[in-house]
Amino acid sequence: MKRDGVVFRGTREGVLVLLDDKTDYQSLKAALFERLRESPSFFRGHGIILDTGSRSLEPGQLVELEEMMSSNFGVHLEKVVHGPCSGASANPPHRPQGSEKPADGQGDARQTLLIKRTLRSGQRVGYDGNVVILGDANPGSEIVATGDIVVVGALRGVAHAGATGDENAIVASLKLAPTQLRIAGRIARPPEGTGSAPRGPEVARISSDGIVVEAMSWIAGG
Amino acid sequence: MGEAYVITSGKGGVGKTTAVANIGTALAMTGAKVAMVDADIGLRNLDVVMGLEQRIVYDLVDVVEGYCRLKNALIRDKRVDGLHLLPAAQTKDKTAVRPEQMKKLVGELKKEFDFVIVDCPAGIEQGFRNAIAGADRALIITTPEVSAVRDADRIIGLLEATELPPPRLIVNRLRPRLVNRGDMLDVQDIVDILAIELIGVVPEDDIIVVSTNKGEPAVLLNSSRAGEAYRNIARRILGEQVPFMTLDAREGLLGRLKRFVGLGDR
Repeated sequence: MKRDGVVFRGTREGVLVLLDDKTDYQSLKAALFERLRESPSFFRGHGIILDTGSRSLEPGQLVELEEMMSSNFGVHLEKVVHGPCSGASANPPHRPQGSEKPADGQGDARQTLLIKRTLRSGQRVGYDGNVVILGDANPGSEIVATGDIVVVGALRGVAHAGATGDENAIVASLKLAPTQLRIAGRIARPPEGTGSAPRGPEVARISSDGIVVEAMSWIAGG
Repeated sequence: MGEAYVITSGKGGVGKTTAVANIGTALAMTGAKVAMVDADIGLRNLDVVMGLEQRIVYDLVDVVEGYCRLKNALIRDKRVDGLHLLPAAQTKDKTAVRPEQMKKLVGELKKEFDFVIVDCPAGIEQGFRNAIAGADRALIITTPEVSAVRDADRIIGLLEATELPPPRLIVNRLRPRLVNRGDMLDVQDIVDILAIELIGVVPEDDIIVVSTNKGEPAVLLNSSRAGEAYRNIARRILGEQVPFMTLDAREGLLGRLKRFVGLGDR
């Protein structure tokens, strides 16, 4: 479905619009306009997520695109992401790479969604790819990702990594204290009654015994 | 031009109405002109807590629907100069008013008053949206309970989606003795989760129950610890730097003295 440098893809969160890296801005803008014009009623009132790839749009261009979409088609820009993520560094080093085929059939080039705020009660993030939260995920919040989940802050809500079945997915957090943790089809919750606070960065993964949590020793230095 | 505050919590029963009554009264005691607005249409309470129930002629919905002028519906409190109440309607429900109407109403009040304090209903539905519509700032009130903190967090999330500046936090009904025993969330736990600025901590105080039933805000009583906490909150709203009260169960000199002479409570 690639054409004119603009690709539309449905995700759990809404419509993701990928902008091709090699096409120039004016053509992309025109192509985006065309595509929205073809089926205005489908998009009206919905939010889209703009993925600018490795391109970085100038602030003015972003505003222009947003304005064009909202005034002509009633489409609002939900967020802007840059993908694909800049390599395998987001994954733990001893994890076998590419052993699981991601659901979107894109090989290993899984997208990463970066959220730079605290997720509060009642807020939910669902993403086809990895999710990184720079902030806390509070009790009552929910993160669902087909890939890994990393919370750079305290994870106190519900997290579901590998939501489409990837058993190699991990959940990592500076303070891993979730209400409930799910990886692929497994569900774990913290042992009841123990008020033991996590001592440092931890990571949860699936082992032969189910979901296990261990210190992120390669970061914390033992 | 005055400033409009909304006091909100998400969860019911954590002390929104009491907070509005006390903060509104305390602000007026400093000489400010204050209008308290009860946005809890259908479940009006602020008039009762203020002891002004018998003086209601018109209400907020009457004003919005044009049955009366704003100044006809405002009730002037006789105890404190400059303190006014706009009561909610009791026979309607939240859908009787739309957010734009509330915004207009609060805008008109701001021309006349230094502070407009809106009492928000519990919940996150239309009543909440009405209450925050005209506000310039929000105060979140919570009690040291997991459920109340959870709801406060939800409300903060909803407020973040508006243009309001980050809300400030009131922790209500703190019981230092329970906190010291490790049986109650302490203020720091709550601030860690909610990550907003603390503007006041109000200790549990039996006087609140009495004053609420009598329609006499606790800030009018010198003996009330909760009243003192609310007076401090009012001063912080006015921009003063007021140190937080020591709420340690091992009280200050006065407490020890009281216990020594057998006046200590509990």
